[in-house]
Amino acid sequence: MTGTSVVARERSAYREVEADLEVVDHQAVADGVVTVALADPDGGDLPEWTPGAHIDLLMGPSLVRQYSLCSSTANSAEWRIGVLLDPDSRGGSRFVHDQLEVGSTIRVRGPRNAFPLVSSPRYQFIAGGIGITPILTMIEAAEARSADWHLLYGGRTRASMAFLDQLEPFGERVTVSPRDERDGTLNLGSVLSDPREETLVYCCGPEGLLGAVEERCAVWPEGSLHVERFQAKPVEESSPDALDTFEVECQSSGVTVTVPAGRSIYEAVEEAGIDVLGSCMEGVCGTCECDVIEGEPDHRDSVLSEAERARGDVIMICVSRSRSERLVLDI
Amino acid sequence: MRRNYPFNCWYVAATSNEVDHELLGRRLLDTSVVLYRRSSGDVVAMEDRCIHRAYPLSAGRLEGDRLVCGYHGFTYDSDGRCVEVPSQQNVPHGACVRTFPIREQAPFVWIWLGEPGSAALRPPPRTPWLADPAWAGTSETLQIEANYMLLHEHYLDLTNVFVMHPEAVPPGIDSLPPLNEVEVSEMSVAYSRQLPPARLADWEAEATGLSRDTEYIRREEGTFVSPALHVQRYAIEAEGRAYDNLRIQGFTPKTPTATHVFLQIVRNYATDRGVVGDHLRTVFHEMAARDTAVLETVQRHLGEETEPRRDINVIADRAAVRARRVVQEMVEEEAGRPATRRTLAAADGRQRR
Repeated sequence: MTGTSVVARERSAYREVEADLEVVDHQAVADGVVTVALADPDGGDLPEWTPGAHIDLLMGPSLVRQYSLCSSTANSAEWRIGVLLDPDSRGGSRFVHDQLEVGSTIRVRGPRNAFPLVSSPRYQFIAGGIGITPILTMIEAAEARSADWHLLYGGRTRASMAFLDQLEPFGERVTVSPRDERDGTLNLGSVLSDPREETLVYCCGPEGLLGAVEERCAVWPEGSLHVERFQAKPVEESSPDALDTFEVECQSSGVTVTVPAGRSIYEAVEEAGIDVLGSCMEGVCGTCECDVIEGEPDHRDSVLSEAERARGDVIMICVSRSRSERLVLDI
Repeated sequence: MRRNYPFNCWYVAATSNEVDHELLGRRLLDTSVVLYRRSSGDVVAMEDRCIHRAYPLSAGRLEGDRLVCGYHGFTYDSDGRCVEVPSQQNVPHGACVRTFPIREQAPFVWIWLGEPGSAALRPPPRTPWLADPAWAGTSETLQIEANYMLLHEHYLDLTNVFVMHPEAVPPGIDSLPPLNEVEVSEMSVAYSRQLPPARLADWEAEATGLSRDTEYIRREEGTFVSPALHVQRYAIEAEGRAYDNLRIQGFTPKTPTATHVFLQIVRNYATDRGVVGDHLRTVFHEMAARDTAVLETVQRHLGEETEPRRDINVIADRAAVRARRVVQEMVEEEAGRPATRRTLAAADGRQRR
């Protein structure tokens, strides 16, 4: 039925740039880590991006994984990602390691950025393991802007830590702490114990590291800390005020829907025919953000900062819910 | 009005043929800049102010590749260093005028007015058609008394064409079909739509020489490439090929309420027929003149409003809304404020928060 297909096509307000890119380089750079370079098979320019951005690799119908870009923003001919083989891989990193090779084609979506580098005279970067990838691009930008920056980079063993050669020229700015070496514990206290003025902290790594950094940065000025998680934050115990069932009024569309337990706001409004954009469906990519006009969101995403949560004027509708019986959104 | 343009972005400063071995003063992003071409052919850009007194260097003269101020004769090398002060022996130590990175990709001369080091982090957007012999074109430089985002938004939602330029619409089409798609990435926004088969409007028939009795499909695509560049493609599909018309517009804020427009109209058909170029120049010039009148009126009204107003957006604005957000994030991040994640309202320089 043509009528239906037209409606379906009109439903989605935006579509992210998607392209079939060719693997032009695939090499092991550290124990368990490969870098993969992607280019347009016709030699065209790739979309522009900024430090901290990531792309989706569409490896199969239900196998979509997000990887930070770690090449230079100046290189519009080629994107590079660094991928750690996860022994418990659900398929993503194993696919990148074993199935991709030079000459393969892979569908790529994005880039988008949930971890943007805000201009500042000073930066403290903290990377754990493969969390170094977005930090590399930030270092390039910090250097270009003549910012004062330092990196604390931890990993399992020196051999497992990617890009050490690239970091070498920066000398004292970089502290490398492999866990298996003497004094190898990541000394967060040395860089975070005293809040410093006009310094932004950017951290990417495993959950344990992020948690420790978040704890130490609690005394830093609001907005100092920026983190990126490998995967969705472990779902916090739902707040006692969270409601199982609530109403969402879509003000621009003039539609009100009921969101029952077990359904997301996103699903409920999309079903009602509202134009919404979504991607990761687990609260990490920031694509489905909507403005909140009225009501109190129950934030369940990993994107918003504490300040943004407290302000309550935006919501990621793929995972977040409501503390008030009625939520009015600008969609 | 709040500044709503990022500095860390390549903007068109001039077209190649505007810059010669003579001084060209131009206000770009509320900064006075003087441009000239050195004998080597490279373009130089400096702040248009003598270090001694606030006199524009563009009112001086060139002596070889050196710039001599027209007030007291302070002389500058093309790297901005002051090399001579006529009234004294020594030159003030370290005295220099700020210079700006320039990349020339004819016919555009791109300038970087942001943090100097960041220029290397991103190349200016490419406009390959303008130097490709498979395309022929015509160009025009305009100045519009309106904020540059009003222009971006205007060209990201062409539903105005039915009201403003009805003669340009193919006969029998009485409303613009919805956008087929709005495609986004971190920094760009592109829309596309397809028009149902229709006979040719007069301007299309004259330009393409195609039969007026046949119905053709058109594809329209518009891309916000960066805050500095909009590219629109209008293709008439006929005889197994696409008769492409590209409208490439460099938008460079002059001030928060005025914009330089570097307009290029190129086509991939009848490339050797100057008369077609002349025709298209006239058609697009007339459209630009009408667009300008409306945009300037909107800007004037905004200037008269004393209270912040929030515009109501409609579905057709969704590409524009996304472009505002890209711009807002660039502005906030470069100001050292984390992007506030507020979407359209705050992105809009017209609204004071």
